[in-house]
Amino acid sequence: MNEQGEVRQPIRVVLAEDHTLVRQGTRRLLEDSGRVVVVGEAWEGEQAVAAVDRHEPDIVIVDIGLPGINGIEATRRIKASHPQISVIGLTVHDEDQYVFALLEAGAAGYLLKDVEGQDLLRAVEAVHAGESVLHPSITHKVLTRLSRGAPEPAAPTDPLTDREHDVLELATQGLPNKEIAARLEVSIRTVETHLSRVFAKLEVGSRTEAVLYGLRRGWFDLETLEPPP
Amino acid sequence: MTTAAGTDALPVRVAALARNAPQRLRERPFWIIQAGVLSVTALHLLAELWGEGLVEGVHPALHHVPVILYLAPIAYASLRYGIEGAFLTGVWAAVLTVPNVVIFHPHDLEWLTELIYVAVVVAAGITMAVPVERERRQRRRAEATSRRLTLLNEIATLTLTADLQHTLDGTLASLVAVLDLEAACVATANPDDPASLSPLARHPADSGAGAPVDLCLQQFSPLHETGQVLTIDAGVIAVPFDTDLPDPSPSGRVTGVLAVQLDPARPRGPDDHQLLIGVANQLATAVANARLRDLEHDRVRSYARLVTWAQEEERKRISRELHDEAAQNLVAIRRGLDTLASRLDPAGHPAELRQLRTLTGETLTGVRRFSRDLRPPVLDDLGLVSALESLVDEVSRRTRLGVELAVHGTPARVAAETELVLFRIGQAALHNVGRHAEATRATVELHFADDIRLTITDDGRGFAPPEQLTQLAGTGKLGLLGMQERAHLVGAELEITSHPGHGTRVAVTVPR
Ligand SMILES: Nc1ncnc2c1ncn2[C@@H]1O[C@H](COP(=O)(O)OP(=O)(O)O)[C@@H](O)[C@H]1O
Ligand SMILES: [Mg+2]
Repeated sequence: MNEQGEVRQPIRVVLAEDHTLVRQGTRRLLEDSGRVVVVGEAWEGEQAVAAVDRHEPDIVIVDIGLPGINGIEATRRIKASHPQISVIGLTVHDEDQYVFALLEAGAAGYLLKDVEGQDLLRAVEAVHAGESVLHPSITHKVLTRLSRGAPEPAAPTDPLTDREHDVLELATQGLPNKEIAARLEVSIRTVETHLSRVFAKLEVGSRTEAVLYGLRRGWFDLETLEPPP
Repeated sequence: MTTAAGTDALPVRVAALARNAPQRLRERPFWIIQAGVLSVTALHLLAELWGEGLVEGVHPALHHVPVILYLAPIAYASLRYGIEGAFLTGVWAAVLTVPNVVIFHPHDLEWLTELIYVAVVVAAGITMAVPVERERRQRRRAEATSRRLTLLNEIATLTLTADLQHTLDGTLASLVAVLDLEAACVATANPDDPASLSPLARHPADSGAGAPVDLCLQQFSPLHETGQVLTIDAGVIAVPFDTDLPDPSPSGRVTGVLAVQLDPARPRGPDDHQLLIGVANQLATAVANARLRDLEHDRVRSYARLVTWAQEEERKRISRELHDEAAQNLVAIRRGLDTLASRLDPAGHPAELRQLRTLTGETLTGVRRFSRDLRPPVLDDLGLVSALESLVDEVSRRTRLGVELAVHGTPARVAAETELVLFRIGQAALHNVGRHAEATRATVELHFADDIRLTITDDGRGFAPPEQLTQLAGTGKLGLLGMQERAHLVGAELEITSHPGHGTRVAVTVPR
């Protein structure tokens, strides 16, 4: 149930994690909330890709240290065939390089495995709602680094409406949907609708990817982003 | 010891002395002798004039006195030029007496007396010269013996040093000086190919067209016996030796040769040969010791490599174990505790549950750090560039050093061993910068081209790197040496450039 009291479809998740106890624990935690159903499990990289092909979930949670192809490569392959599906990376390592690699591969977010169970759940819901799950300081670092790469050729036409641009720009600044809704004086539902249209038009699965997309095409620059605290 | 001057008959020696006349003319003693002989002759003439009545009252016999004075220059000549000098001076004095005899005693028998007089004086002078000569010869011999002893002593000291080239060069130089040689050379057979010889040292080092080297090479044949002196031709002597110590037999296999080139006009006696054999033995020992040292060094080295590799493998294993088992179990425990907490009514949350969750999180952080210190997972998961980035981030965060990473060329993943070695060298070099350099900035550069090149540069105080990094091992400094060993593990070359006051650069290049 969300704030408006509407009944929503549960979020469909594929969980790729090689450690059995961690996989079971994570699954229980997610499903206990009643918001998530785990539609598929995988404990190897290739298996994760196959599970996503079969189940076409809303979100994939991928452990970086998977046997076979690792979580980063699995993410790249999943995003190549299902741009609209969001991937959240999970790892025990906290080096920035993992975040960079994951986001470059197309992930929507990245979480340390030792996050509180509630935070993991919130992250899944946030990504599903088109919100960012990255800490603003990390976002800034990532975007700085990614924007240093060669700029991609500008898309022939800009597919977004002005309204959608406004929403994306506010999203780029790291504002939660609720805040965006307040600024634009519309309902949260409307913001979510705008964002999902933006994602669909840009063929991405998450806010992070949409922001990177816009940044690479020069729709906005790093200055519009919230500076790190 | 026997020298040419000691054995030859008087005529030969006289001839030798006379042959060197032009040189004699440049010597002071020669002119002193001439002045002496001429003054005595003049005095003799004056005395004769007196005797003729120019000066009254002088006994006529007195005019013979000056002839006795010839003894002085003759004795002096024997001191300076030996018995042959005394002889020539005596003859010269006799010749100078001739005008006197012709002028003042042409008719009476007095000329005979006069000549006998001179002959006696000359004979006395030469007789006197004999013991002087013997004395002198003994002194020379003692001197030569002492020089040889000094030589052997010098060589013995030289062989104590670890630097073979230094030993060989020093030995040959001393040998050439003491035996008054034209040139000397030492060569040994290649251990893999006993029939081929390569020169190890020569003296003079710059002798044209490799003359002494050729000499060495010509002198060698494995068929020769060690410990004997081979006279190849008048000017060349060779002494074969065996470097296969510690079991030298008097006529062992020949694996080396000492060859010397000498002045053919000065033949050498058995003493010189004895000395050459002694020197050849010393050289053989020096070469053998150096080979043993090298062998030992190689062994230590390959052992060090194995240990380094085993250590890396072990670290990797432990790091993986920590990551795959300990850390994941902690995550599972954490999840279990979270589930438990969410199922409990918040009011019923015992404090213990919260504590357990916190403790699990802290333990996980510790395990993660430990695993990363053992072997950075970024390196295996993401590759060298990411691992260096993460390293540079960490150093910048932890220290006040400004570190920058620059990647040139197209980054690509290479063999895991190569990536590991390059990473470890970067890590060790940055560690050194932090510990020793007092630098404000450091740059890590990675070039991808036909080969991969990693350089770590700092603007610190620099140092004077030793010629051989192995010299550091003795002082317990294993950082630079370890870098070099690791580099060699993957066929990479390590280069350390540093000058006091001018910063340090560590560069490692590895083929793809
Ligand atoms: N970047 C550097 N700047 C100045 N001196 C250095 C640097 N790197 C190495 N050195 C010098 O070289 C020596 C040997 O270094 P190393 O082999 O790593 O041993 P350790 O670090 O244990 O002293 C150091 O003691 C230091 O004097
Ligand atoms: Mg795993």
